[in-house]
Amino acid sequence: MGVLKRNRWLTPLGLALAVVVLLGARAGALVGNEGATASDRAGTLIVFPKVIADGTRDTLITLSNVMNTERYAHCVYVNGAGACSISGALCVPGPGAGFGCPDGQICEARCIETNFDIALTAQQPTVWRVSTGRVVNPADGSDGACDVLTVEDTLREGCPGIDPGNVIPPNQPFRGELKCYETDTLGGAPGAPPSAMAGNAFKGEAMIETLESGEISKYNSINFEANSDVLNSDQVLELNNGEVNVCPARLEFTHYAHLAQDSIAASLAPEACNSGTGLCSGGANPGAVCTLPGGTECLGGACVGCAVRSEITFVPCTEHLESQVVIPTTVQIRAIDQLELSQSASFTLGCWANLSLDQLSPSIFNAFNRGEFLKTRIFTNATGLRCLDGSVFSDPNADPSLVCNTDADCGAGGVCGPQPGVLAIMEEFYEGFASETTLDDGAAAVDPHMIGQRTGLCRADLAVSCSRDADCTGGLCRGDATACTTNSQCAPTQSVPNNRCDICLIDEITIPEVVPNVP
Amino acid sequence: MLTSKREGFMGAVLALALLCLLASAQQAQATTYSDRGSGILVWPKIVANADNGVDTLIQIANIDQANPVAAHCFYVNANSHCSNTGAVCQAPGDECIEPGGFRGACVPDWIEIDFNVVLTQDQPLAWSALGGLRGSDLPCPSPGGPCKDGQSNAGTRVPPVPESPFIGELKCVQVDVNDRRPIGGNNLVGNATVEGVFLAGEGYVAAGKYNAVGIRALAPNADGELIIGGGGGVAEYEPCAEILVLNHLFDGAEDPISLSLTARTELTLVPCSEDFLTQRLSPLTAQFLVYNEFEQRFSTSRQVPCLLDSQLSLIDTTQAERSIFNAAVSGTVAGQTRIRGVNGGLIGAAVLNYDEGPLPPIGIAAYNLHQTADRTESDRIRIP
Repeated sequence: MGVLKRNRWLTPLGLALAVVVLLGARAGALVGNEGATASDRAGTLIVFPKVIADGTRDTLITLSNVMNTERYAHCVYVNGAGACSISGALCVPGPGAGFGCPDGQICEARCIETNFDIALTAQQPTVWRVSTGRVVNPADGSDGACDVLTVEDTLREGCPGIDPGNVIPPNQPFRGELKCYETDTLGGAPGAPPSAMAGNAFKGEAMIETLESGEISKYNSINFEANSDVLNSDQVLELNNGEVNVCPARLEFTHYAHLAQDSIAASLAPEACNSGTGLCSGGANPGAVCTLPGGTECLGGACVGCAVRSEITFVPCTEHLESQVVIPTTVQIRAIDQLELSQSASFTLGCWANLSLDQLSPSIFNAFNRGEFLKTRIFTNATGLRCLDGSVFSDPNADPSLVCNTDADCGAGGVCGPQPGVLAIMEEFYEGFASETTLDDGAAAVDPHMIGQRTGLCRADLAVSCSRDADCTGGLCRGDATACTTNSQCAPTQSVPNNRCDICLIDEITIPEVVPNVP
Repeated sequence: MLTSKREGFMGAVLALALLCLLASAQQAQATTYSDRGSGILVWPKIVANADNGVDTLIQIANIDQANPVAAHCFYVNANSHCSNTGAVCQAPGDECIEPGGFRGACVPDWIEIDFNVVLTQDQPLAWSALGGLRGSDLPCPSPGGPCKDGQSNAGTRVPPVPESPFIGELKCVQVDVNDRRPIGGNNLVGNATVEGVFLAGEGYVAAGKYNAVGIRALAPNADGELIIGGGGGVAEYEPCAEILVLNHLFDGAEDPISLSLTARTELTLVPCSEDFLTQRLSPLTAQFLVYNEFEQRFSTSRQVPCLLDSQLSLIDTTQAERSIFNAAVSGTVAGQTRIRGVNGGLIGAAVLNYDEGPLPPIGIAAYNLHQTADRTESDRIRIP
């Protein structure tokens, strides 16, 4: 009888509990998931915008699986380091001809992509040094320290713990980004590439270390949640509030103006900051070394001791990692000072850029002109149109700006759509008491504040902006531009294996199709 | 048989429900953010020590491009003090000895001071913990100044932290510009830079920057009790996170890059709930689940009175080399620690130090914790 009595309430209780919990989980996901990116919650696609291994700095990646089952990820390094067009010397790609090349040469970013796969057991953290990667070595000790190995003249590192896989070192000097996205299998099955999986299991941090001084700075990866109801198995991650969350509408940083005096150092060590050497802020020779006090070397500016300078690292939200074609985007930057005065600049972003504030604009960030602190707003306008696909990608004579007005401008199979959105990280450098050297004292990286959600354009009518597919009346197939409303109406073809119904175009990442051999 | 079959079915249903519960607990994301505009900002770690060259730069900004915002801010002084001399001491057990040899106890304390900040449209503002912000330092001290639309920072005055050394937190609540009562809007963002200015040898600066953690407003009423999360439609703010996730290097781990520096992480936790009106403490317990790279799990607990600021390897013991957070004990370099407040929500930040011997750290890096799942029960902040 006791059993029967329990039966009467156990069944409805169990069902009710299941329903309530499922509803609760759904509701929680909806409330918590604003459809935006985040730097403090796990995701399916995680982006480390600034990864450096160039001989002067190196990066330590920490990554962990926050779920209770084993999870897999496919990771892609994109090397955005620049090379001078003739000499091939390392340089900084940026506005105009870039920086660091002799006159007559331009700094070109090569945007080389390399990738690897990892597996993390339940709740497992892992770590690797970017310049060495991490080898699979079951004989690693358990002494809490990594060992340096030389494998065929390449410096590698083995660390204690369950190795996540062979984490390769990227080609070096490396200055670029790391993207990882969750997959359903480790590296795919024979004959089939791994498919993206909406598990939202990964979180990570990057710690950048200056080799000579040991100064460090650290930021959280920027993470995108994916929707398991929508994410399909093709090799395209659509950042459109459908498959994957959307990029932010704008990013904001609050920071010291370029070459402002570090107010804390100046307060705690006034003598050290106001004597010896400093850097010219403003005037005709900003950044030049000067002598404190007075700084007669500064032509029209002020000599600042214990100065702070900053770099912003940019990566686009749309990337064709498969074709390695860079879709440029015009990044708008607005610097607002404490008097609310707003000044702006813009530049064209390729695959990656890491620019100091004075490289972005010599005037709008300058402490001499703008005061001590600024708020910087970064965004791209979706109404700027670029080719997102088409034969223009393989046309060596095509305009590399990929600006378009219609699909026809992008050649056969062309898709003209909104230019990419942008993600960014800021790193501040504290010159401290060593302004006469090139060595900074301290560094501090910080994640952006991400505001709003980026909007896109309806593929079938580029005059209509959209936040999600439901905002558009219909779409067009990627392959042949026939009208469609669902992916099933767009059959894959040999030339367009990732054919799909483009409805609301915002951002997308086309991932390399790595197909394991059939034994 | 029928009964046992039914039992099996119902057991399966219950098991399914429990699985769903576990799955949902893992998958639901928290609604507190360290990268969004919010109605309440929390800087868990504000430190200052004029003698040791440590201070914190606090930055706050208004993301509203048209209207001013006001914030009612609270410094929580979490210093402990000697019962006999009143001097600042570190923790219970510290010696408080008067010149005559009389001994006192080191008593945990928490004292709140509050102030207002008014930000004009789109405006950034900054001050150091030791220096504060005087009226003469304000960009637009009164209406009719250089700021647009007659907006100004009038009403802003940030006191310096009351003691040096100082350890504590800062909370700011977005309030109405006119009557200073809590309102929505979610227009505040902020960050803090913890900086050390070390003059030994040639001298150097080390700094780490983290974002203030935001609690987003839903529809706050104008009273002094801010209800954060919870059911029944009473919530005025979105809930605090159920679990904080900290990725870290184990203390004592050798830096895989330099192969000479050693890692030491400081964790700071503060409760979501605080009673600034009566200054009553409701200590809560933080549970730590620590995973190493072998997927092995360790755990410990520690009470969080008004603020816990501790080296990781001193959370569970006074002997760092025996801690579950020590690399020699855990056996691996990297760890993941999941932190749950047992009877209240927690907010935190972490600072990684790279040490070379007993000197001040060579490098400092501050970063935000990840936040997972929403608390189902309310947390409450009472303000005067």
